[in-house]
Amino acid sequence: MLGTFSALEVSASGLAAERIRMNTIASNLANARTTKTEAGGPYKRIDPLFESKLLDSQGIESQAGRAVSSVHVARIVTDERPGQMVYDPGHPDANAQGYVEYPNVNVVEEMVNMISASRAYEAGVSAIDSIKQMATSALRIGR
Amino acid sequence: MSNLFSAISPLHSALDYHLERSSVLASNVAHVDTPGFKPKDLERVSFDESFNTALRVTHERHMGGAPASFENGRVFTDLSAGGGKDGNFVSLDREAAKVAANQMRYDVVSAVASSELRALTFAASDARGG
Repeated sequence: MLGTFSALEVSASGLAAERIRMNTIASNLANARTTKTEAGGPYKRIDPLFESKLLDSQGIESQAGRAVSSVHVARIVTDERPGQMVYDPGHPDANAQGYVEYPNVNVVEEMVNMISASRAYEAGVSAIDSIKQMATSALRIGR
Repeated sequence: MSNLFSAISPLHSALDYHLERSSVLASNVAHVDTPGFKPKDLERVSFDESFNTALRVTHERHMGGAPASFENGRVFTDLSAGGGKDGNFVSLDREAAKVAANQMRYDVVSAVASSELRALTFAASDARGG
């Protein structure tokens, strides 16, 4: 039997995952012009890879328990698309031909991802509100 | 002979069903960005149907079926919203509407359960208030 707390646990895992996604977007935006990294070369944009995971705590014996899964970030993947080449021979990171490779971050793309992440976060919060409301009305039974 | 709480016990399974469905829908909302995720939903199984899958009582002195085998609903995959290129079929608006409708139904059932219990309290107090 799935209870109120498994629904809250699942929603909370979604919120945590969207928050990690927001962090990667912030990192991509902050490093949109970073040409030097510890690994060498320009910054490469990162993306979280979401994965579903069955709840291990409760409810696995029922059919609905097997349908419910929480979400977690399996790993952070690096986007290997080539960066933008800009001719700037005076730049310290320019190559032999005088070109500087800038990160493969597209600011517009990151903004779109940011809006999508924040909408998903809001949806998760409203799901939590609805579950809380259900628990409150259950507590009112018999009053 | 009808039980004192016979009006409330069907509401019990309705509350269970809506609570389980809220978990399933919360899982869909959480997976709005998981590639390849197919949203699930829980449909209500009629009492007769679930009774047939449980042990049938053939004699009035036999014990009934184990309540642990009772399922409040049947899980199905809802692909009606259409999927994107990442194989994710979750539509945020549709799931939000389902969550809201499910909550409203739960509130209605719990309000009905409350009023049934109030009626019992009223009767138990010799119709003096309650």
